[in-house]
Amino acid sequence: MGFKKMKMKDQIQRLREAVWQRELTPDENVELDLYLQANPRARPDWEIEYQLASAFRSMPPLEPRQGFTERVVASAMEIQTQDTTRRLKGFAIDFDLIRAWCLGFGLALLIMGIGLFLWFGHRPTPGGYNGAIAMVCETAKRISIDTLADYDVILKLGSVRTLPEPDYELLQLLQ
Amino acid sequence: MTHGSERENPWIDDVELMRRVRRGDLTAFAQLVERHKAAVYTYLVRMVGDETEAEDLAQMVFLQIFRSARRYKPTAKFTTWLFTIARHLCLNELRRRKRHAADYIEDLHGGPAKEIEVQLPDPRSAMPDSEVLKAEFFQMLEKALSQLPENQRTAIILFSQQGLSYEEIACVLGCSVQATKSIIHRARLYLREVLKRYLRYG
Repeated sequence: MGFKKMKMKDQIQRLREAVWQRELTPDENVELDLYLQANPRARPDWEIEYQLASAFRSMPPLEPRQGFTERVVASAMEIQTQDTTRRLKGFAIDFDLIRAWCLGFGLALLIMGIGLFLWFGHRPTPGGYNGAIAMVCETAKRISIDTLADYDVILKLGSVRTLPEPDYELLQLLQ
Repeated sequence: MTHGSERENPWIDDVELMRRVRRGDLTAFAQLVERHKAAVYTYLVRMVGDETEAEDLAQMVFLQIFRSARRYKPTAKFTTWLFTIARHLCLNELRRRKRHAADYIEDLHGGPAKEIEVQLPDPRSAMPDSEVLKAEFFQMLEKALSQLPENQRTAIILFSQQGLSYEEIACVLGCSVQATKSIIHRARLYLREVLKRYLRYG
């Protein structure tokens, strides 16, 4: 019994919801009649709901003033034009930025190039003349008596441009 | 697409029009406006209760649609998106009114407006009795509607007058379907309670 009552309650609830959106279908009308026959006391309540829902549904739709669409489209056209201008401006700004970045990058490359050129092209020889003497002294330290036997040969090496002039006095003393 | 099929499936058609609007087609935009202007305007008039403001808002709604066309994704029915935008703009307007309540009341009761009101002839004087009663009832209905909270008003208008489903209204209101059903139920109960003395049984 309770289940049947619940089912009927759901049924009338569904019909009430439906009548707020549209007219009931023939099947729904039959369903409603059966419900109202079984529950005659629900009829006044239903009638009020039906009248109100029908009135609410039939409230006349309103129309904006003449030329509404034209006005909206004209405003849209303005927006479109503004957007295009803004986009073009944006492109110009972007282009300037790219140009500035390119310029900066080019300058940086140039400075780096000059630096590298100076570093590798004109690097001073370590030590200069003093260095050369130090090198000879270092070599002399390693020279044994046997080596000095080959003095003539070494003397001939004096013609080699890279070596400094032989120290004749020293060599004579050593001999 | 033929005119016949446009009538058969307006949803697909709205989506197609939006695609064209996205490409900057103003003719498609004009078609969209023409198709939905009455629904949006009616909703807004019933929400803000002022025809001039409602028209301004309706214009803003469509321009917002135009601006957001690039972001539009046809995952939901076009009207759901349309009414979501309309509701947001409407809420902003109602909030603005709340902030400037004093100015607004002054505007409503200002001298010149009252004068015009007095000078206008009563449009109901030429109507037959049944029509007068009907017009009066509609006025009463409008008044009762204006007393509903914003979400209930939106829900009942969209449900009953715009034919949106519970799911679509839930989308517009940003709540669950169950909550939407409950909101509509409360709105119905309120309207019935307020207006039942004007409705007759039998």
